[in-house]
Amino acid sequence: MGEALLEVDDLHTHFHLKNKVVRAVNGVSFSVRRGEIVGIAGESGAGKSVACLSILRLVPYPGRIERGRILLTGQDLLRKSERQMRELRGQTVSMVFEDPLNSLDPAFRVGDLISEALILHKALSKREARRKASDLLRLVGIPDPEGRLDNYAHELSGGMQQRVMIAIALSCDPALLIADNPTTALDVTIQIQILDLVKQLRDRLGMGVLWITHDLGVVAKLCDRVVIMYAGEVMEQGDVYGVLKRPRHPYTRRLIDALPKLGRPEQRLMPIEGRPPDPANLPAGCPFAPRCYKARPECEAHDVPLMGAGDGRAVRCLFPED
Amino acid sequence: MPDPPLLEVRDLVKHFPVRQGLFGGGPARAVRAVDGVSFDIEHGETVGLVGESGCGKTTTGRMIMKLITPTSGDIRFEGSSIGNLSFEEERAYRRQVQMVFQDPFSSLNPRMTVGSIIGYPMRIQNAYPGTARDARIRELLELVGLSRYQATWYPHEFSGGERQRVGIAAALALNPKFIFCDEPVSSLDVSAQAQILNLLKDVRREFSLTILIVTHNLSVVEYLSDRVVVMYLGKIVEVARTADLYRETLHPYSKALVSAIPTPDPDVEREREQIILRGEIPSPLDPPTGCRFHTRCQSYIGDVCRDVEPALRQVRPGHFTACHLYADPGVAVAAPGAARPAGQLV
Amino acid sequence: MSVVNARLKERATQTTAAVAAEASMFRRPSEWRIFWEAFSQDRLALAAAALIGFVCLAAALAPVLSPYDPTVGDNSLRLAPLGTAGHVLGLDGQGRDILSRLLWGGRVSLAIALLPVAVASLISVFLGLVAGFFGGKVDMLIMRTLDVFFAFPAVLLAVAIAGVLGPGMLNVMLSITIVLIPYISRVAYMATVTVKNELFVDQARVSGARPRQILFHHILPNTLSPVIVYGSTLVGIMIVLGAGLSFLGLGITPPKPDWGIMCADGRNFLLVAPHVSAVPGVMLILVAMSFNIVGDGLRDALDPKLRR
Repeated sequence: MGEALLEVDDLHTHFHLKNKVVRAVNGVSFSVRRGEIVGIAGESGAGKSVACLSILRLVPYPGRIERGRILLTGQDLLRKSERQMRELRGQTVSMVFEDPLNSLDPAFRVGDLISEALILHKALSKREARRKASDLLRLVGIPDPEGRLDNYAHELSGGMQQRVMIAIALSCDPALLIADNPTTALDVTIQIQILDLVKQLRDRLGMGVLWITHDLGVVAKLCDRVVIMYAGEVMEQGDVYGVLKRPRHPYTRRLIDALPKLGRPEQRLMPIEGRPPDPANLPAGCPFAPRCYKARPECEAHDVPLMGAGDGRAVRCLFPED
Repeated sequence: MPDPPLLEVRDLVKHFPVRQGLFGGGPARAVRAVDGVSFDIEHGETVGLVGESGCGKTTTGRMIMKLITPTSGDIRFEGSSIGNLSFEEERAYRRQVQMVFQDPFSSLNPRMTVGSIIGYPMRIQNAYPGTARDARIRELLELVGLSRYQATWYPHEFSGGERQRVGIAAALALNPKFIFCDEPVSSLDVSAQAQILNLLKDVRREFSLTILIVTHNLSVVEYLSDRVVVMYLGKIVEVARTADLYRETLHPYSKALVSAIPTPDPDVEREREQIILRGEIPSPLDPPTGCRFHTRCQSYIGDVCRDVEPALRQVRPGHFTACHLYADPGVAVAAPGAARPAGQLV
Repeated sequence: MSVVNARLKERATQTTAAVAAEASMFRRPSEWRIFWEAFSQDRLALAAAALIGFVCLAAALAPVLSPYDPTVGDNSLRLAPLGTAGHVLGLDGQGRDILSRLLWGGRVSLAIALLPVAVASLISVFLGLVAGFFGGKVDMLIMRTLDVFFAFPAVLLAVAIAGVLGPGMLNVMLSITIVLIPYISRVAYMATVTVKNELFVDQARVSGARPRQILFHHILPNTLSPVIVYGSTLVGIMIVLGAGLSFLGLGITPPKPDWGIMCADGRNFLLVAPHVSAVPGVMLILVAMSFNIVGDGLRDALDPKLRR
């Protein structure tokens, strides 16, 4: 692994609505190194997408980054102007979204969509951009790339559309690729193709990848390290093998227990009681305490710090599992 | 003479015609959603129907529910065909056969209280008249883990998992023998998914239900099903008891499907064979010739795969597959039932 | 025997009092009350509804409230300004009391707007439901026929029909009704098609519901609210359209007043006595806007998801 590419430190992003404040991200810290695939996992509403939009400073109004530092290749993104951010987006860091049909402009052909970033950022001529676009389509495994350049997005299947999105994201050789649940809508055999593609691209191009998902199975297949989020906070992080095999946070453990495991159908599933907290009304202390079987009064009394647990792992819990 | 299976599906075909051009000119094309599917479901068993987009599993289920009429083929319930039923016969059929839907947000009428929704099947069928109906509604609510006092609430006041429970309660209202679950947990998050799967298991035991569950998630199928039917592009490619399917997956497509299911156990991930198929799923408008999987198959033998469609054959006891790799001179069985001895035609 | 059926037997032996007591726990406020609570939260809509109510009431009571005969004029006082003694809103070019004409004219203007919308809505809901629910050839027949009407701009179409039919209140209402049907039908049609594809309709079919039952239990209730909301907005527009037709002389016959004719009457005096046209004009704007605002409020109040 290379040096630290992205360092997010104590990020807080809140949405100020008419009569309440939705605290989507509360003190999240993690890092991504060059050549590393980091997964951000958690259930819906945990704040994963907002955290990543915050990195790109694309949080929609009325969201606001309240506090924190985001270092990308050493530069603090929160101190940059919008113009400087536009330079970075697409070039140094780019993003792939969940629903490709919604993210690809239906009025443009695939070739134009890819060339746009190239012409904008790298000042290539139309012909050069088209040639590079064709190379990119080949890179992401689309057969007959020359022919595909003239298709419209809706003429392609879901898997192909997602590959096109990846091609666009990679067009300017970014150092960091952020992906928000790009494979949830795809069939499993297509999903595994995309995951394999991302791994190959990481090997070839050496980029860092931040992958948001709610599927721990995808994390197991794809990621090197994982960050488990709940109610806007990081509950646990570390290498994937360690976190999934020997989870230290009760939430991680319960999340794994609730999933049907391939090969062990007799094991009764254990759902987690209760519901996630309302992000406009977060309780004091550990946000998982109301649903945690280990919770004691100390857990809800004050905020629990994220504590290192050796060999790159960290847990936000006063009574971690061993 | 043993009892007939609860449900028998024979050579079921559904083609959806596609209109060409403004006035219908051009060659007649059709989406060949289901193209000759046969299987049995015995009393009390849970069969999982799995496959990816375009495989026809949902269409098959909807034909069993009589929401779509088959292009050809037959479906028999307790021995009698369900095509061409009189009004009364169809009503009787529907009392026995109910459904749990995929999207908990769309399957409940937002303008009806949850109590009315659960009571609706009873109202339509004139079952449990009078106060008995209210009592039954409350019982059903508690059965699925909700409070009886929530009968006056509206769907939007519940979470996704809770709404799915309401859907299950409505499906049980008429005390059916058979329930078709169409992707019952795909829209739910992990915890709700676990609750609903457990609920289905409990309810199945309590009411001795026969269940057909359609899903793309093989771990869910493994958890609930006794037998699994794997479909690809409108055809059945493999049928087996659940344990047998995972222990010895025969068809190359099933192998790829099993290997592609993400599981949160890194050891399992490392150990198992990673099969990554080439190419996209072909369109059901224009399926490949011969074996429909041959365009992506990594075990391609030769021209026979391209030219000849393999028949579904029993390769092991109770384990059937349609693949030229297993083209033993075994007898082609008409419909893979659960307990039929090898080679016995229906 | 299933657990549920066993429990039901127990239940049957409970006393009726106990059952009744428990039933009271289930009482939920009626639909009207829920609707009213939701609607009254929107202050602006409430104010607009009050204004409409007031105007309608005043117009309905015109025979009682009107101080003068709206068709008889006193030439000596013609064009008297606002605040003239005995004539709060002044007099028009023929010496007729504007307040009286406003009250009597309101009956016509409101009727021209409300009745056609109501009648057109009834017809359109039927057409939209049938076309949307049965689909296929019926759908094509109904919707393509209505599309022909869409080819004409509404106002032009209304003018043309009114021109052909001739002036008179009934003809104006007829022409407006015809013009409205395609628009409302489309709203009803879209709502029907959307609801038809919802899974709860499949659930109803799986329970054994007949098409008629599905239409009445599920599709109609979900189709009515978009139509009601759209209809209330249309009333506002039709008030202005009706006034416009009268302004052009295609509406009711004088000397009966309506707000459109009143505006027309004052157009020769805009510089010397603007109030003759301005008063009915302001009235038109206020009432039309109020219907629009009420339409918005209805939309929010009728959506079950926005309640509680």
